[in-house]
Amino acid sequence: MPTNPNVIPIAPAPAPISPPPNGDGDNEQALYEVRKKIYPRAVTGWFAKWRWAMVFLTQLVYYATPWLVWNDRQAVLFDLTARKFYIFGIVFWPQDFIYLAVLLMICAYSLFLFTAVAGRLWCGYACPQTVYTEMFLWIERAIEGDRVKRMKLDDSPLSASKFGRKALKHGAWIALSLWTGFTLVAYFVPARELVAMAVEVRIPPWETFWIMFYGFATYGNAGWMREQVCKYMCPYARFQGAMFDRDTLIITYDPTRGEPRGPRSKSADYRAKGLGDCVDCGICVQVCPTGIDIRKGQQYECIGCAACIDGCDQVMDKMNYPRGLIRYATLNAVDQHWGWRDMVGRVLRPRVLIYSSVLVIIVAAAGYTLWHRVPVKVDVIRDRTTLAREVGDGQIENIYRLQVMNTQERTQRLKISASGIDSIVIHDLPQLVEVGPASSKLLPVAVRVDADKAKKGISRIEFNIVAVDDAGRPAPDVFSIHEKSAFYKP
Amino acid sequence: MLRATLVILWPSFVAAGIGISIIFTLIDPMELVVLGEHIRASRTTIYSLGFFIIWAIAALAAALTSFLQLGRNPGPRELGGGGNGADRSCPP
Ligand code: SF4
Ligand code: SF4
Repeated sequence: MPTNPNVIPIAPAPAPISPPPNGDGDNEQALYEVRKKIYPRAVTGWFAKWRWAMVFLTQLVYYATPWLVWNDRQAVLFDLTARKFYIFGIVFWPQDFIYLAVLLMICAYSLFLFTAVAGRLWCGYACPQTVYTEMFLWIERAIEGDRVKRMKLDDSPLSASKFGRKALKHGAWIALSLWTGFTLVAYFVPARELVAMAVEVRIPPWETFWIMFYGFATYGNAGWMREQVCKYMCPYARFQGAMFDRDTLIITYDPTRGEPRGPRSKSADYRAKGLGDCVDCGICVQVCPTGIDIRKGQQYECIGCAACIDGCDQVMDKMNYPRGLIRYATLNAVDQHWGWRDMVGRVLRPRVLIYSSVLVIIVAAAGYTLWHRVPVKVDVIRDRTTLAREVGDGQIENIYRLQVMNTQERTQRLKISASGIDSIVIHDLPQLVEVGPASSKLLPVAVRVDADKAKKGISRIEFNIVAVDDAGRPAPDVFSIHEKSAFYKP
Repeated sequence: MLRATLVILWPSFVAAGIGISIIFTLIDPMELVVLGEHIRASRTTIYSLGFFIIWAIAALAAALTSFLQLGRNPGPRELGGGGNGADRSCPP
């Protein structure tokens, strides 16, 4: 949380506020371009509260999830070495690949939908880049002070106290980054084991590598590159323009109300002097994490964080002007002086309706199939070495391998039979096949048919798998699976 | 130059992430046969190495694309799509 809700000076900003957006920050040779280092001023207000609420929410979910327990195991675990994904009560196998695709589609369409309705909500409130930058900035503020102090510190020659502060800041950043990397790996290797290994300093090399890799990425992106990631590296920042239209809710400055801008004393009748509501204090530019001037109109650099709204609203309050010189509005609304009613009335337009119906259909279909998921999967593989052979008493035998996977976390008892040809039997299978919780079994199966019953060549057959309870009766949540295969008679 | 490098590396990183998830969901690395032999490394190693191989290939493609773009366009600024404020993705 911003440490010092600072007093906002209502004085004209030093001459050209922009293009060099943040006053006289030093020219820093940043990672990959010479840029003006941006020192965002801390801001408090309604949207800042929301932004922090989202930081807490997303990070609580991110850092806490690996520690949740379910069925005596980690609740959410992507066990790559065993190729099983545990998500609370459900175990996903590679065969559930479709759900991965569905998940990607849901993410994409939600993003389209949100963007069409309210612009860069994702960027402003939920994107890890924004969230970690916010957290890193908080640390920076706590250690180095607010904007002006930070600028002074950076300008000052190296001294013991400067070095101490910088070292403390980077130390805190690195600690947070490492914990972030550790948490990421804890989604793939059980968190508690990982801690035990960390205590004994024996985390395996790849795990160590990924902790460092993700930690370094966090440190670099949130500590050093910040807004440059959004400006130059993020593909979404570029193509989100395609999902915008004139009815999309974005952060706008109201030029009819604000212009002509200019400094004035609080008591003066500024309207008589022909001035608009903007006092040209530059606060909106100083709080902007990407260092742009929203008063110049829509710019692709704007991540929609609403810091400038909070900043400007405070100024408006000071001046006793109505709030909302900078506000969430649509381009149509600003041009045509619409209120909220007109804007809300334009939300349901074809683009939004299409995105939402596709989204609803995908979610409903995924939910339905998940709900009706059969807890056992069977793959039938024909033995490739011998196609068929004759066995005693005039029978033809084909060999198959049944891969039976139990996706539930309790043992399944299964009755397996074959059908499709008269006299078909499975020769050598026990009455009941048991498959342990969340595991799979490979069963070699010999299927026999009386030679005179099968036609020459290939006949369709089916394997039938029925779940039964301990007594051999069909299980309460009964299911049966029918897997097709082929029987070959030479 | 460094900026160009990162603009190349980041999208290919995302692409490699998606690529590796798709490939190794469909294929179990333990069943892979490379040059006639089963791989003897652990799954974690194969996933990790696989990721870097795909990342490298995707980055190569991205680098070539931006190199070819560079030839056609006036300046390296175009590489990242600008950043001078003139290139606006939002409608005016
Ligand atoms: S212009 Fe306003 S909303 Fe956009 S990034 Fe800057 S402070 Fe955030
Ligand atoms: S828009 Fe608001 S915050 Fe920005 S300079 Fe004008 S009065 Fe100040």
